[in-house]
Amino acid sequence: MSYILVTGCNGFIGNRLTRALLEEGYEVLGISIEKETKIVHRNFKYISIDITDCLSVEKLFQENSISTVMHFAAIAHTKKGQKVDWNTFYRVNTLASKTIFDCAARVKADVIFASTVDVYGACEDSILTEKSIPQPVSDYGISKYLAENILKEIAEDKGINYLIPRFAPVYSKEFMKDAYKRIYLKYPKIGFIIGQGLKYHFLSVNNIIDLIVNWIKSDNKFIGIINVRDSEPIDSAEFINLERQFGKVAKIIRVPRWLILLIEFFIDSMYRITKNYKLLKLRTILYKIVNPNKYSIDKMEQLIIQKWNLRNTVCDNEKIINI
Amino acid sequence: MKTVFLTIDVEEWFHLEYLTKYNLNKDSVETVPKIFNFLDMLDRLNIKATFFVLAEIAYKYADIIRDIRSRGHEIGCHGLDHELLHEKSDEQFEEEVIKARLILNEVLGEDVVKGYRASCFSMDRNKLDILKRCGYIFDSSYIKFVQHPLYGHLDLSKYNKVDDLIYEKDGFYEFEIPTIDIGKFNLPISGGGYLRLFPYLLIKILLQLYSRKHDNFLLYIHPFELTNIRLPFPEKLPFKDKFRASVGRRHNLKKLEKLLLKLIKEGAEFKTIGEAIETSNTMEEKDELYFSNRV
Ligand SMILES: [Zn+2]
Repeated sequence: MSYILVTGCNGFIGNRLTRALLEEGYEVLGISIEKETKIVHRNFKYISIDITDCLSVEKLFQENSISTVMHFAAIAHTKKGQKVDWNTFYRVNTLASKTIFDCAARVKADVIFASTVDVYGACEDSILTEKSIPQPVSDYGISKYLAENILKEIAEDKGINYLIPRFAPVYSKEFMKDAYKRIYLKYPKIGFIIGQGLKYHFLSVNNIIDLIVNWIKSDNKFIGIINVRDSEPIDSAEFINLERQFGKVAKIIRVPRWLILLIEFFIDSMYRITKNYKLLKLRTILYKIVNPNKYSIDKMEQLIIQKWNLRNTVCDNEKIINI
Repeated sequence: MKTVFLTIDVEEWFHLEYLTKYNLNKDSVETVPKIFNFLDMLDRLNIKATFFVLAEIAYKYADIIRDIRSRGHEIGCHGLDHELLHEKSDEQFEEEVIKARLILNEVLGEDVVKGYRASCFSMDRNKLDILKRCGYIFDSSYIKFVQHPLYGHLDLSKYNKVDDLIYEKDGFYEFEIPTIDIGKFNLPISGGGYLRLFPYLLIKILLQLYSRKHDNFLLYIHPFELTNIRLPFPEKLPFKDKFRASVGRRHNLKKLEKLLLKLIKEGAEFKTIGEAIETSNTMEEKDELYFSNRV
């Protein structure tokens, strides 16, 4: 008996992934920092572990037969409502990942490492492909990018299969926070539209699950990095319309595109004079608001035909509304 | 300055000698996991340092200790626990230095620990000889700081001074913690506490004075001095001790970077202690070869 190890199995994606894998008949070993899990299944084994505790992680690999590692445990932007500093990002997202990749390579397990489009950071290619050179700006993006490079090096050295999906901002029926940031000034009443509305690249959690199940079943595994997002971008004006059908967005504020460009130009000039790194971060954020990143999915589309978009992820089947 | 040894005693804030008598909320704040900003700085400056790790926290921070090593720094031992050596019998000391080294080597997955630093520099000659017997190659606990009651008076008779701050006997080395003589006082300018306390200008002047008589320099600092997170001091802690533990922490990392940059600019070479021993050994071998060829 060999397990699929899912790290962060209590997390937003990890939890759904674990359930999907169990449904497909796999044996899953789930780990997370929390004491307990809500997942109950005869093919599921849970161990509470702090992944920064590298000695315990090594023990876990010695005591269990693991054929595939799906590394989803990570620290995002806050931890229990507190801001996270670089030291913590590095220790959890980079160092602990290195431990896990080393262990996986030792037992020749395949590895999927959940990365993020945040690694592209300040890269200004008009379309971001897997060949674009990442210039991560956020601590989160930097810590993930470092881990990507560690995995590539280990996997190529030890000859193991690996997949590094770079996920666009993820939403699900229950979790719309990242998507809402693009249309709400104040949820659920005040929305905003920049110009005529912009197209944003998002990712339904259901598409992630399909992609990963597909990869693990494949005999001829794709190896390397791929951008992952919904095939259909979300148009903010359409998104607001959809929300209005649920009785939300009583008021819409229209922001002219030039206004944001002007502010961005001003901050950029300030940055060139002061060289203050915080200004660069702010500038990048503003730039990304009016020029939303476009991620190429040529590679992804060779791997999977997507079933999910915003509408069928968010709405119940019978209530799908055509807009 | 010719060679500078940057050394870090890897311990927690609550290991400070003057805090040990209090009942402390030890787990609420950790300073060792905040060390990465400092490690990144060393990478930027291309400086390799010597880290003396307290073995009782080695399992907890195994990932961090491994990262320190994989960045090219040297790992030494700062004892099994942080009790002063005067309070330990020679037998107990022997047992503990063997065990501590085993723990560190186990964490690192290799037999690499060669050096030792006693907590609060409380080394004596008997224990130094024991250390050598137990397979260590160097110690760095010798300080000529006569005013301080805590610091031991290590007898180094029969040791040869092979270089500034470096003493040797039968292949075992002692690295001195430098002090500076001012009148009848000597100040340990090499310590993290003094780096925090003194304004940068004063440090520069003191170093200038120091370099008139010395070729080499050694600095010792602690993780709690490299981050400004708040430490949960006990309420009863006297002002003097609170001051000692917290003064200048806020901008210390920046100040340290400035100092290191200055030393680099003046041509100082940063070495780990192990590297310095290796160079001196190869030089000795060359000398021997030279002389044996002549005979
Ligand atoms: Zn100490």
